[in-house]
Amino acid sequence: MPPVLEVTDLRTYFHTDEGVIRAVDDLTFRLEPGRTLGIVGESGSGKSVTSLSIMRLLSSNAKVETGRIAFLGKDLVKLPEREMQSIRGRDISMIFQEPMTSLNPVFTVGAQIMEAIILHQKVSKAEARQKAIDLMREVGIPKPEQRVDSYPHQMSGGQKQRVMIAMALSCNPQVLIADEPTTALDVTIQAQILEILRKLRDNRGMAIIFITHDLGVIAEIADDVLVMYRGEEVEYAPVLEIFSNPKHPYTKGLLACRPRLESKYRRLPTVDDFMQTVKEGTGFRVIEKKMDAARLHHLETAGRGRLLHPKTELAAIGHPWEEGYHAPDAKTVAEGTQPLLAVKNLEVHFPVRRGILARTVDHIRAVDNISFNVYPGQTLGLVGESGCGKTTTGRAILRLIEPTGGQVLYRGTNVAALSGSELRAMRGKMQIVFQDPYGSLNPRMTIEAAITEPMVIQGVGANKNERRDRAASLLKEVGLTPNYLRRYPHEFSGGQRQRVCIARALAAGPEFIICDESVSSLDVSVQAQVLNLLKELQDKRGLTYIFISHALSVVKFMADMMAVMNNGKIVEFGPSESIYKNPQEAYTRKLINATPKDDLELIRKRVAERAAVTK
Amino acid sequence: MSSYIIRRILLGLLTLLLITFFVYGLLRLMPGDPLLVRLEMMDPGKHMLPEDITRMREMYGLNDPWYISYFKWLGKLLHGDLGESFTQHAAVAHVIRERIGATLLLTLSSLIISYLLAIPLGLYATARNGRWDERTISVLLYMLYSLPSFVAALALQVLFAVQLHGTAFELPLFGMTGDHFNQMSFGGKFLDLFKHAVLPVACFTYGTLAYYSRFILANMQEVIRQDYIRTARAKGVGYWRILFHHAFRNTMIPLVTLIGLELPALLSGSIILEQIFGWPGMGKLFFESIRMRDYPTLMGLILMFSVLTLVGQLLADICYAFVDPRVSYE
Repeated sequence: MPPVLEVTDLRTYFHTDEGVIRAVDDLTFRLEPGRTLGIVGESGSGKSVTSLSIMRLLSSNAKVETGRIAFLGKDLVKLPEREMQSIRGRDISMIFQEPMTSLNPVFTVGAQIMEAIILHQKVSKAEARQKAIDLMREVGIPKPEQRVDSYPHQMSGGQKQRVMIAMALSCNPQVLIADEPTTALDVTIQAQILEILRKLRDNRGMAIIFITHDLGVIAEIADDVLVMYRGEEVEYAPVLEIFSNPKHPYTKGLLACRPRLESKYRRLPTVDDFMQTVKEGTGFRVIEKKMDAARLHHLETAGRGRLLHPKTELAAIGHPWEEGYHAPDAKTVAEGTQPLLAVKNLEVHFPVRRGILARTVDHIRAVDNISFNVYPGQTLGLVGESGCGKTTTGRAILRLIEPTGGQVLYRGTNVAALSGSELRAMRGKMQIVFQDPYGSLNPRMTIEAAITEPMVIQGVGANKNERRDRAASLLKEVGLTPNYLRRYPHEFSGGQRQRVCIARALAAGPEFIICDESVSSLDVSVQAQVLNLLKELQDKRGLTYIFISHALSVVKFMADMMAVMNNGKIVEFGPSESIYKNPQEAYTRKLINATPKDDLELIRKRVAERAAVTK
Repeated sequence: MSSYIIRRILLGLLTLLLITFFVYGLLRLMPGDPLLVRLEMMDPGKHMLPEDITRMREMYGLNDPWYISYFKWLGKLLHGDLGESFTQHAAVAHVIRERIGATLLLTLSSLIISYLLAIPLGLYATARNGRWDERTISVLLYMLYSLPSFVAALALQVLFAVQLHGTAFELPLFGMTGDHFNQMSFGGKFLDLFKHAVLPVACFTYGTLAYYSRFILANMQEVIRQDYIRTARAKGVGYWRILFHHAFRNTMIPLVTLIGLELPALLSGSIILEQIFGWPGMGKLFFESIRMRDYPTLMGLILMFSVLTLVGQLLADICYAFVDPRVSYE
């Protein structure tokens, strides 16, 4: 079949004050009608720049240097802007990562869909409106006749992304470019969006370029996969080939470093286990490394096995200990051990105020009567979708948000009742690492100032020099070098910053750390490194964690015990492996089923089905 | 919405009470009082009997402590009486009414002109961002913004009233109307008023104009970097439509707040400009009243400015809900 889109030797460079950045370097691929090309890579790999080059929506400092982007034989690179405008939205459309900010807040969603229709088709306003309603129905928005007049802020993230899809489909394009369309969404919504895209592709014979950093999603949707690394193609093959027989070490590394639901590893492999990048002239060269048996053994045996609640308590929560059922290295906390943290009937209610006197008429129950224990040295996982109350729970435990009811007992002391100075002393024992390493470090403070500040507050270290020495050894402990002390946060990558945040949390010598989505904004290979680091620190320092995340696979990898939250309540609580193997609640099952799967059997089945359809 | 407005009005009344109370206290604690100020200006040969002074102090209510006087003033206000001006021997309401027209003529025309010019200027500068004409406009606007209005006023007076004296471009030096205004025809009156107003309005306008255009430019540059602008481009929307339809509609949100805050300035006029141009407006009245310690007039003016400030903010917040669908006061 002739390709609908053919990219040949594409080079897109950014011209910055620091010099030329080769965002896309010598990229070639082709896209046939009805097929889905998955482009996968980490941040900075050039995958988004590729899509913006095709759409000619690059920022002014970026330029397509050489190469051809042929759409049905027409070279888009050389097309006048006017003609390009009529191709955008009509022949090639695009959906973006952030549904929250990608719709204009001051117009109704209907108006925004209608605009795309009226721009490219000769229809009346009433017809366009009807078409918009039909499209909204097609992408699964309930009551489209009413929702057509909604503003973006009145819709959820998943609905907004559906609106974006409706808009992109409005003129029946031949190519749809989806740039991380599900990354900002919850897994259950992601599963629905992927389903919609698959259906639309098959019904309309549309070709899709699907850009993502998540290989699980690629396995669910792509026919062919292009793996990008630092602006270059490292592997380009059919999806089954990529997953069953990856050739390039980078692909192997990417596939291995994700915590998969059925993984047996205690430590995650990283991309560095498979390859090494060396500078060569203006570019780089990849040297393949072999994963030896010793390393594999280390990954499988380093650290400890699962540490479950005492047997009596396991029985009480409906997960009695059975010999042979748990992993052979799993242990339980000794009977009679006092929990390090006991949360009892914790409530955080936010008042809803109405009327002239702003009387409280109702409450939003962000955290609604939850109880659990965490024993010393354990990791408790809190998992759930956005808005389920997991972050509020974490913050209420540390009193970053005041609980409205219940108790938080830390070694028997009720944190919720502590006064100012007692609370400050307690904070030396309890720390938190946040999600966004960019927002949670003060840009005006050096790394040294950030790490030594908690020491000053908690009275750790006799003087400045001693504290600096401690900060230096903390940096070494989290895998950075002490000469970073005098630098500022903007000089570091996301992963390095998150390591700094971990060092800061360790500064006052805590026993207990809450990791609130601490790896969610990191690239998978960096995520693996940080997860390994957290586990190593736990072994070395005997730390106790509450690990909060929306990603069930990550929580399952990290946590001994897992609590699944929904609507402010804990819907299921038990050993993480038991919950994964044998979920009791419908909600837990829904979460597990929605997590993208990449086992070869499923991919093989999907490929066979696709082959049948396209014939 | 209505319960929000009612709550805001109740809060506003409380704020007004506090403002007037403290301002009244401050005024009365200022050194000097109306009688002494006037005595200083009177013929030194003329003597005033101590009994007369006591009698007059009694008449003006200056013997009471200031907080007692305040509550007396407040009591009268509740009956709709702003009191009597010390200097002009007429009701304060009347004194203010006489001056309000002159100031409105100045401020309203200036407001309208600056908006009418600032919006297209700001949009044009956004469209031409980085090119020579945008750079020129931006530098000029910046210079205007930094030029003090009294300097410009004096320079314009020298140019139009002195240098161009006798030519067709001559403009009057000061005042709002020329001699024989009352005998002029309607057209003549209009022309006379227009000629007198040109210089003060120009001086009043250029600073705001520069400020607004720069404000619009800065906001537009912020808005066109947003994700939804990229979405619009990806739909195939043309450049100008993106600018006017998608971007400007979002820039209007902060602009509306600015208009609300402008409301009190509409009536306060400008002390300096009205003084330079001999314009019989509120700014001049305010200045004279302070000099003469004319407490009732001052309080009348301050009450008016405070009410306008509060109403302006309320209006801005209400308009906010109209231009930004995300804002609601339910």
